[in-house]
Amino acid sequence: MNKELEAFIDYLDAERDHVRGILEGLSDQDLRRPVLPSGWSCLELVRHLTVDVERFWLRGVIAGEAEVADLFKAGATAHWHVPDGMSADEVFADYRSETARANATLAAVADTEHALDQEPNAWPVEIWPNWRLPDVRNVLLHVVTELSCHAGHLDAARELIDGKTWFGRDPYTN
Amino acid sequence: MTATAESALQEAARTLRRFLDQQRCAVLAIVDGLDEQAWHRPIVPSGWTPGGLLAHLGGAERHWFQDVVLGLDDVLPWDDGRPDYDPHMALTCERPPSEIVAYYREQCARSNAVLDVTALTAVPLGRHNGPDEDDQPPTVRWVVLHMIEETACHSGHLDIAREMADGQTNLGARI
Repeated sequence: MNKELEAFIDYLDAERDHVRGILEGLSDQDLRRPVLPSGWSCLELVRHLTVDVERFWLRGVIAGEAEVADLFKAGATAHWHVPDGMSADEVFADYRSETARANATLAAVADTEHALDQEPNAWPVEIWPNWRLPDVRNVLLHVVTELSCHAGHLDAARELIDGKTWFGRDPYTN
Repeated sequence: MTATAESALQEAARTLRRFLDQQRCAVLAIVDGLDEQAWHRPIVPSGWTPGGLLAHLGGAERHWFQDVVLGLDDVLPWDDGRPDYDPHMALTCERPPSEIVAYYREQCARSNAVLDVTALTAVPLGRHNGPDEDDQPPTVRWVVLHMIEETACHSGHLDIAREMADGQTNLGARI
């Protein structure tokens, strides 16, 4: 595999493990309750990562899959909610399967020498008519930063819920 | 190397540096205007403070670009009276916010100076003393990606600290 793409996938996988690891062992009630004044719950954040980050940027933008093009409609990028009747296990299973598809998509469309210099296959012009990430590398960097930042949010949220840190280690010294 | 390949490499390097700078700016924007007491107050049980986290980020810039990329082991006035880095200690720093911000900015500027003269494909001259001795960063590109990820993750920690301190959110001005 293209070394640079391989490095991106390693970083993405490490942050996805971080997201799953920091939430391990939380009760359904704790996963669903707002932790901060702004009101989001940990499970809502996992939905956001599944739909608005992984599905949107990797399958939607980089690969341009028609199947997920609905996400590109104006106002569609706010999936900070868990659909009625969706269990926590289903939310995590969907996250895991979306990340696996994301990696498979990247291997299929971005594994050539200059793939990261190319424009992504699609762009949500309805959402951002005047702003654009020019190439696949920019999109991947955007995803890495968004994922890392949200993993940081979850670190602090978990501590506020029950004082636990990921694997019992201090998550702030990575 | 062809002119096109050369310009693609330069563009890739600019992109990586732009993302690193954006994350550093996000961190500084999140703590900008934070009440001085809140800089030194832990908001979670493990005890880290915003001041400690920003000092740590300055230390991370210095470690990765000076120690690891250049292979230096420099001593700065900042080190006087600071405890040695201990990954098991909560990150705190009792110094005034202005001093911590100045230290962070100075370390970012020194990192940039290293990047100005170093190719992303270069192999780091020093070593990272992580849990696995054999696990060393293969290239400077890896180091930059690591700093982007580390800074972004800590900006998430700082987001929460800021919201807990005075209710302000989304100061990192990401999209």
